Amino acid sequence: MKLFKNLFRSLPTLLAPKIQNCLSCHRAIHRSNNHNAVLGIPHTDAMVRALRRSTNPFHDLCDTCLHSMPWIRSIRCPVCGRATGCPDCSRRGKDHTYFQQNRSAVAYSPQMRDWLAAYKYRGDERYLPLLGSMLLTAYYQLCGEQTRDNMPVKYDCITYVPVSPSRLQERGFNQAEQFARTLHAYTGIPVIALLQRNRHTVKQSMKSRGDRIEDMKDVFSLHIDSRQQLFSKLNLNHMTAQTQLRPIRILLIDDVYTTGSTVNACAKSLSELSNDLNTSILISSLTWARS
Amino acid sequence: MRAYVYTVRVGDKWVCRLSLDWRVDLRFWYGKKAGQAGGIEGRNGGEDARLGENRAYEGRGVEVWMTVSSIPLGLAVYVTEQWEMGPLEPKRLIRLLQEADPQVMEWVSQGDLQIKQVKREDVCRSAQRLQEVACLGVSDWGVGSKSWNGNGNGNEGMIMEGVWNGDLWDDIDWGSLKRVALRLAVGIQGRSLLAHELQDYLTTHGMEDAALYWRTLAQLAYVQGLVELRSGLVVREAPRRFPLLRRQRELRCLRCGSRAGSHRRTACATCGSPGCAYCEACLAMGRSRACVLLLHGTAAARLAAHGAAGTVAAGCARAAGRAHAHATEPGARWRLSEAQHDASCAALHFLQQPCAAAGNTPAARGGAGVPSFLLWAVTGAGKTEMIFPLIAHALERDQRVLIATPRRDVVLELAPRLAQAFPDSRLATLYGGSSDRWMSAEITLSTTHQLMRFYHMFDLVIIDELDAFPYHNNEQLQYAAKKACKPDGRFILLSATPPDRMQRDVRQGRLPHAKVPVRFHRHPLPVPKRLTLKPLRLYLERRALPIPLIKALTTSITRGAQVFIFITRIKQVDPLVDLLRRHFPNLPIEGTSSEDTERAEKVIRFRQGVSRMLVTTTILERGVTIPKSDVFILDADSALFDAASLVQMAGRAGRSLEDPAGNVMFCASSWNRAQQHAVRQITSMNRIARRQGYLNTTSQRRKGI
Ligand SMILES: [Zn+2]
Ligand SMILES: [Zn+2]
Ligand SMILES: [Zn+2]
Ligand SMILES: [Zn+2]
Repeated sequence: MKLFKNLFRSLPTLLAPKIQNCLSCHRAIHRSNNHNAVLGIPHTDAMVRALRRSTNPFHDLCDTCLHSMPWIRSIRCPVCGRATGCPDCSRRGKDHTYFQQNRSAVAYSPQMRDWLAAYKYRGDERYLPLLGSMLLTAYYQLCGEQTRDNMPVKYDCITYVPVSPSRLQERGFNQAEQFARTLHAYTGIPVIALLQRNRHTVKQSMKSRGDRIEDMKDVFSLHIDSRQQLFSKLNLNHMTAQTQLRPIRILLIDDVYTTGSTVNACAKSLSELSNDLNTSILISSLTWARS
Repeated sequence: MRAYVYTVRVGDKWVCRLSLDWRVDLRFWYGKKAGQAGGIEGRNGGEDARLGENRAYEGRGVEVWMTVSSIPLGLAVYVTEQWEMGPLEPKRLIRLLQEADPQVMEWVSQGDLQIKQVKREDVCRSAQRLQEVACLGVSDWGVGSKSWNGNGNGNEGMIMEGVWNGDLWDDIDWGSLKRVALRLAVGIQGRSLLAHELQDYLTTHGMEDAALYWRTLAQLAYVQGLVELRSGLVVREAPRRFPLLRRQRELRCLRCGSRAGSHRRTACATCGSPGCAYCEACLAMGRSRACVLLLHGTAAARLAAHGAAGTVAAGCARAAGRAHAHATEPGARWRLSEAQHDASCAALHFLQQPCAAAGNTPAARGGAGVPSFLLWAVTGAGKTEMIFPLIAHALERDQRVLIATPRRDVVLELAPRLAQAFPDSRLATLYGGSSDRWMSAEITLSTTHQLMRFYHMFDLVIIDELDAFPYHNNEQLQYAAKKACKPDGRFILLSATPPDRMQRDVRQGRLPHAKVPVRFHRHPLPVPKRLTLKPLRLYLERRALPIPLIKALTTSITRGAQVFIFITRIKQVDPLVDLLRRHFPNLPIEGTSSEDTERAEKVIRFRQGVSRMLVTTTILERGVTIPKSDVFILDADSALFDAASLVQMAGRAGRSLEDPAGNVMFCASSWNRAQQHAVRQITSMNRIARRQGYLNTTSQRRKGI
């Protein structure tokens, strides 16, 4: 008797069609059958192929939210990938820039700020697939620009901006690392933890630009076993020190690019790897948003 | 976070505890370092003895067995709950861990689960300071096992945040730590807080320093029994879906009561689990997780048991209620109508009954296990006044009262009325972002979400509109309300449209209740009339409204009433508004829905009479009261309208003494059960009102009675 009662009670939930609500605005998603998954997203064929391999995270959004994303489509500053004029890069000068270029997926609009806050501070990890795959647009943008002999360049590994151990404790994850792993899932490029953070930095927005740069000194350094890791994961062991290695290309991932001081400090530490490897290290940065 | 687990033998009994800072436990159970004579009885002795510290057992063989490494908090909590007897040993430990998480051995290393006896001499040898702790073998303040089992980067993995960095064997420091821990425990008495909320409490109460060693303090309060340490998500036995199946375990959110369907598992750097679950149901209130600490303030019970209730009383606010000597005569003091008075008296009688009598059947315990009383008051009955005598009754007895309501605007509207009615009592008004969140008050007025932050705090819990939106079949609310209520507390439930299950309990005499069948103005409820129309969809396609509807609307407009038009679909709001504007070109008409960003402004304009007609979905089925209004419900036979929401919508009409008989129209092509049921509820309330003589004479005459 009770068995039937329970079965009966669970019937409506079994039969009701599952309504999906938009991750961002929580409204029910009405989707037509011929819905185009990448409508409104800057994409390449390669990206569409990558997205097809698993459930498309952009399906978590309703069409309205999907179409209102502040994608960076045209790049004015070739260094930091800004869509507007750029005093930071010209001031820093070529000598002190340790990375080749940065590309960001979206502008850091209030809406994007809300998404990142929901993910990073509130811990709503449902946002990860979406935010992580947004990085794909920046990645394919970069691939499109960087060609050698008409072939797109290959990146050797992905690494990410680390957070301090106590921040990691508090939050339970490092958003940059999670983005890196999402990118790995789509591209297959290995993720290697090359960097460590030696101390907290005070909230960046509280300080002047000069302070920020001063503050970044020695915050990051190479992991003790980073060289070893790089050697083993990239199969560099069989190459001898005499042969000139091809340059090694590293993708550095972070969530938000503001002045570039964080990315530059990380890139500076990463560039120290070239001493041991007897080759040049080329660092490109991919960030989810550009403020 | 992670925690150590240990068992300690006290006399011939073994108890199992967890530890956020195991130095505290060693000091507590051993009392003194080896070789140190029991010295300072004078200063702290009395209090220590009362709280059951060491002295009673001194010399009777305290024995401590502890895990060599910390383990994820959720697992530690499960072990302490399930450990039955005897000293901690690896085999049984692992079996318990596997009960909690069948895959546990794939990610927790066997090495972490070794158990070591920690002797009094060990304490002596080491652990003056945290940095020296490693030599004890009980190390690892960090995450994962890598940092301590020999990767060489020693201190790097030791995270010492939140622990006190001094010598716990210093009697003076120990004494002052205990005082701060007591202050903390008294301060969070009756609350249910996540770790970061505890830190917030400390920093906002002038204990910024203490916030830096909150782990040590929480541990010290816990080991003295002043707080309970739990994890946000806990392993519980699942209710059996089918009687023949084996019982299974499931995770539940201890804060909001949600089950596995609301949880998500992700890799967690905080505890090292590859699939550490967190609760999505209460995420907006801060993340509750399997490895996040949840504290329950239980100091009152503990101190009362040791005859030290005064300490708590000093910390917990009182001072109220003494002036309310007339509570037993509610009618006079609160100017209640006869019907309100009668219902209020019945509820008072329920509160005065001893616990056993009040909750003698399971239904009377309201499904949540708490003795409950239903005040079934029709829309517009004036239920707020009816609860005043109940609040006064509780305040007279130095009890704490909670009034919970699903909607924030009701909280804001009710607050000044309560403050005026009880000027001598402190009132905390809680909603998302309110500044009263730490206020210690006799009366707490709260949105239902905020209920989750309490644990056994209130003697009387009044739940308003228990059938309204967030409550509808909401297991979560029941859970939170029960958790906020003391084990011997009472529920008063207020509703105009109780859910079916509750109505059944009422009919079968299992739920004590009182009906208030009449509005404050003593006129009967308007009975809905039928208007047979085709579905609205057809009229919108044809771009013309049916003549009977236009006629009825014109009648309402010419008699000077404002008109509510309820429809089922959000996307029909704008087309219908357009159509109505064509039919009534000079009339201000607006439409709104849950997706309308200007809803608040439009409601204000309607309230002010600036707009005369408002097209809306069920979002406005309650709350908005207009003195002279008529109600039209289109597609009233839609499955989206149940009897309860039809009664609520009908309840918008005839609310004022000036216009007590508004018109209600059910417009539909069929006359379905929900409509019949709604009309039956309304007419039955009118009949009861008439029979009991609550209706005023003019309305009786009009009805020809
Ligand atoms: Zn959306
Ligand atoms: Zn630039
Ligand atoms: Zn929860
Ligand atoms: Zn965890």
